[in-house]
Amino acid sequence: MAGYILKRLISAIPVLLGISVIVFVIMAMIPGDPATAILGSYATPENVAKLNRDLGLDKPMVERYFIWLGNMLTGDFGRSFSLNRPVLDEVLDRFNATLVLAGTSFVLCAIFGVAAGVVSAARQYGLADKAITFAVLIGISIPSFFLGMMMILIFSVNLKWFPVSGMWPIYGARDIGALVSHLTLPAISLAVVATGVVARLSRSAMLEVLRQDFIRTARAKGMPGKSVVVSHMLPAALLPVVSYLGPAVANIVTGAVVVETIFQLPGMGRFFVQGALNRDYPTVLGIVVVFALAVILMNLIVDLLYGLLDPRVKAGR
Amino acid sequence: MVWFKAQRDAQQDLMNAAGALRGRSPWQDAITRFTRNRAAMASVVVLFAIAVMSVVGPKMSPYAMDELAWDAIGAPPSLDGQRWFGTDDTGRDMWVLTWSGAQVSLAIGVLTTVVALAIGVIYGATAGYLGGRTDMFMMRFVDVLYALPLLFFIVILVTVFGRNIYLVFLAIGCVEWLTMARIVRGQTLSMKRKEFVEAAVAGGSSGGAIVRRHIIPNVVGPVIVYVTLLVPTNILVESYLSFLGLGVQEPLTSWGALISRGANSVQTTPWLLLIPASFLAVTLFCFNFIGDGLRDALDPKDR
Repeated sequence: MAGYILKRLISAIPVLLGISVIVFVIMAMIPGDPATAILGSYATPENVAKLNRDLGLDKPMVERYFIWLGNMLTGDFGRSFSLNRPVLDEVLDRFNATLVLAGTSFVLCAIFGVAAGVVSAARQYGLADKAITFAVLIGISIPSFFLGMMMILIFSVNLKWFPVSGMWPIYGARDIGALVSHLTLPAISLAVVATGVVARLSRSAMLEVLRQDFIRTARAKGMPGKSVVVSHMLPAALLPVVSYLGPAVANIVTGAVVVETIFQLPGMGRFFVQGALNRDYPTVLGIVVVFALAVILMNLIVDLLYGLLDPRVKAGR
Repeated sequence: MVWFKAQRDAQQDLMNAAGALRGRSPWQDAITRFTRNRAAMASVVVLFAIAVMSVVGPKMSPYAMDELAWDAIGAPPSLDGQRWFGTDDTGRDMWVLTWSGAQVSLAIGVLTTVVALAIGVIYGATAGYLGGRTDMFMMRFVDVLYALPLLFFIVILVTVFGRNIYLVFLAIGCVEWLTMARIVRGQTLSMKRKEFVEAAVAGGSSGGAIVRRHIIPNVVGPVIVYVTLLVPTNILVESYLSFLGLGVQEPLTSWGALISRGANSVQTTPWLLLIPASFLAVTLFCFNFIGDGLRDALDPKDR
């Protein structure tokens, strides 16, 4: 197990390098340099040249990349051009908010998605199945920002059940209750699409398993229906669902960018867009690397889970 | 279950045909199954109507897209004055804007999918066909891109190369081909090893004939299904971009751009948000329904 984890972590290194190279090259192809973006269009050429020198932008691209890489390996992601603060501090500051939001949505989509899928497979073509299938299709088709705005309008503005925006109250205690009331709407609007996908996947996986021999055997042995579902079908049906959870992380993180904007959460999304607009490439690179690392770790966890659920995978390792 | 039903129906059809027994190809079967799916057929009709209206709609109104009506700023939808969808906060006609936005949104959905389809099919088929080490390297590259949250990538591309509408097409297409490549590669790999392909080889079929008669028909099904699901995904991605202010720029508009503007004044002029958002949702809904129907029609064992 430990060997496997180590091997996977080592294989993540070329992936991270590849991503950083791609992003670095694209950011370096920017027409117009960051120095001009920082100083504004009235800057003298001397000042621009000096700032470029100070930022290390006068060196060739390859050299710049290796300098950045060397610094990054010692934990120094450079300074943000626009904020003039260490990138890593700024990123980690905002990462927490994104992590809490994305994590909550992830848990929500896994629980409700699987539950909906199981119920609708167990009652195939029944009323519950039709209702769930319909709800799922609607859920998949509603853009998260539209859902978010509608929920703000209904639940925050009209009913005043939840705060309109932000992650913490401006005055008052920053306790778990405040967090829950601030995050309920964003987490729901972020989770809906993924929940729909998970529900569809687990429904078709359950139906697939339903027809297999070992289920018939279990039923023939006289095992009660509910236990067949829980102890035989569910673990087998969870496999395709678990393998979707990896891409789901990437999707949820992407959606988080938009949801954070609507609910004005202090997350990475807005920070990233601003960074890209300001040609602030240390910030953009830092965010991408931290995000990619998080996605890779999540994929590793998902694969480990997969191994726990599927005995065949262990043998093949 | 559906399979049995389909088989029973097929037998029934054969008996009805009374003597005129002709074999039906899997494609004819699929078409029959699809046309029996009422939700999917209704979605086809609705989508067709929206597509037609996106072309005809702007011409039906007496107003031009960039015409500002100072005496009708923020007018609610009404029949008099032919302001069917009302006007926005600068007095532009929402009917015209909504259908022009539909043109752009649909075009983006379809064209980005064509880009993704082209890249994904060529890439996936090459990897699957060549196999071995080449396949490993090619799919490793796909893994690299998978680990990158795709919207980030699009945002970088769009901010770096300017907010040109063609670039939005290209950026979304260049990013959304990954799953397509994986699907095509997987299908190609598994088809290559199927017994009927072996049989065809043993029977002396040429390579081209095998690809044409056996590989392509078996790969096309999942690809068609994925294409119908990719179009709404890409429409949604464009609306995200427009919402963040990075998508389609004035004077062009899209549903996403309209929603983004409408969101600012949802309390006072809700129709600016609700009209484009409803059309967007209905369109996505129809595409998803069609995709579902096609999946059932082309791959009966999935249900």
